[in-house]
Amino acid sequence: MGTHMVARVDEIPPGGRKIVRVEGREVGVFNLNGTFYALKNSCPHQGARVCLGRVVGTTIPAGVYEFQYSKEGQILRCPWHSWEYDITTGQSVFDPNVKVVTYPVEIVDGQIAVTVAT
Amino acid sequence: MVVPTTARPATLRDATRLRAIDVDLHHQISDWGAVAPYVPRGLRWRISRKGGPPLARHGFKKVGVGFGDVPMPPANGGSQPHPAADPVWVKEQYLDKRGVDLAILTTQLLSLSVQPYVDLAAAIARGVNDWTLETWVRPFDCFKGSILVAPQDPEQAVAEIERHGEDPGMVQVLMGSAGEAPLGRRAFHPIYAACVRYDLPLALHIGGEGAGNSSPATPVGHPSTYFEWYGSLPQSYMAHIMSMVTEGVFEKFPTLKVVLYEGGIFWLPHVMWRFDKNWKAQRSEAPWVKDPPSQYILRHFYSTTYPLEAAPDPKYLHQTLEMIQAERTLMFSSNYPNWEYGDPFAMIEDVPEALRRRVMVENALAVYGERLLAPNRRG
Repeated sequence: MGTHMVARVDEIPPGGRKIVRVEGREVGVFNLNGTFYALKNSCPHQGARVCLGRVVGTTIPAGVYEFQYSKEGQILRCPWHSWEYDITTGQSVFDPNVKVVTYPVEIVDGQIAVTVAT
Repeated sequence: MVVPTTARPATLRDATRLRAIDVDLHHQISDWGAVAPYVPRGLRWRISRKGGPPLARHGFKKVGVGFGDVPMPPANGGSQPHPAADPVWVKEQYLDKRGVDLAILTTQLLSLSVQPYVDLAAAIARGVNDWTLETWVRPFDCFKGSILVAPQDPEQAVAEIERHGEDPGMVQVLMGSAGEAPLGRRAFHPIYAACVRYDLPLALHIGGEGAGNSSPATPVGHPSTYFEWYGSLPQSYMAHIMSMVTEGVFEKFPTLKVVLYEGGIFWLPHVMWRFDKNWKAQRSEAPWVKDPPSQYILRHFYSTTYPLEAAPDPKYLHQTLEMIQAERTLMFSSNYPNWEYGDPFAMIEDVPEALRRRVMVENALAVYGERLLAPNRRG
């Protein structure tokens, strides 16, 4: 387990991302409106590099024939089979128990620090 | 719904004494002249003739006699009477001899849903429902009726449900599975609203596929033979299930129950799991589908035994029964008198003993509730 400086804050603008390598694994670091999130670059479905997927919004569960498109910029859609994940939690939209692994992020002296468990 | 014995009104039948409930008995109209007085006067002239009303049907002739070993009434002069035309004959020769205590009547009019002349279809439904009540249901506690409707005009279908919705002799709403559109479409929702308002299950029955207003009986075109047509029929149910789940019918009507007649069961796991798999990626198109589709299917759909697929090894049947939660979802149906696919009791010999009472009695009681046990007269 360790904490790693993976990028400077100004390297990843709002809406941007950077794929980094930490202790042998790939991690996607996302900037959502100034808050940073780190997700393992592996889809729990079949291991696709999920952090390369499009960042979108989605129609959240709603009433019949209601379309509430929201979470714009907060949903990561896996490039292989289109499963959708909330970047802020790693949870899939369809089942909170299906999750992309997430890592704690801190900002230390203008650097983004990601902590991974071995 | 299970009511404690002590709370059960004395007028209800004792469910513990029931040996079998048959949820699909096709009673026959042999004389349309007897039905005519129940048909609204403006359209009575279209049916008051010996052969009955003109009805679009599939163009196939069944192979063989079509009745299997159903006891046939003695010939009456030159014409052979129909084995499901007389309630006394049916009671004595079928129900009493085979140990069936209750049967739900389902008519021979399952192609009503594809008739282009929608007002005539609605008038026929109305006339047949009243005739069924007066000649089969009121005089016999062993028979229960279905409210036959023509869904091609949902407004008249709803009016027909409202006419009988509180009648203890009627236990479900019945319509053909063939029609102009997948049944999840919102034009049909008022029918489902009426079903739940009166706590009536919706029964779908194959029969009109490919005829009248309906699309071909398969998505790739018309089958060539009766053999091919009949084998294809579960495709109707697959399409309707997908449509009803996707269009949010069960989110809007969480208490709606749907009974699928004569479609078999082995295709259901395929539908459930193909649908679940795709939902994970595609749910955003129909965001009101909040649960995996299989959960809606298992919660809302019920299957019937006739004609159970003839699996070459009983273990295949046992696996499928487990997959569809048959201990809750499967009900005995005879399809009387159309036993050309075999004896309905012999057909379910491989259903495990542990499930037998569920299938023969208890599941139907859970689906239809106290109406099944109530006397057939109001008040």
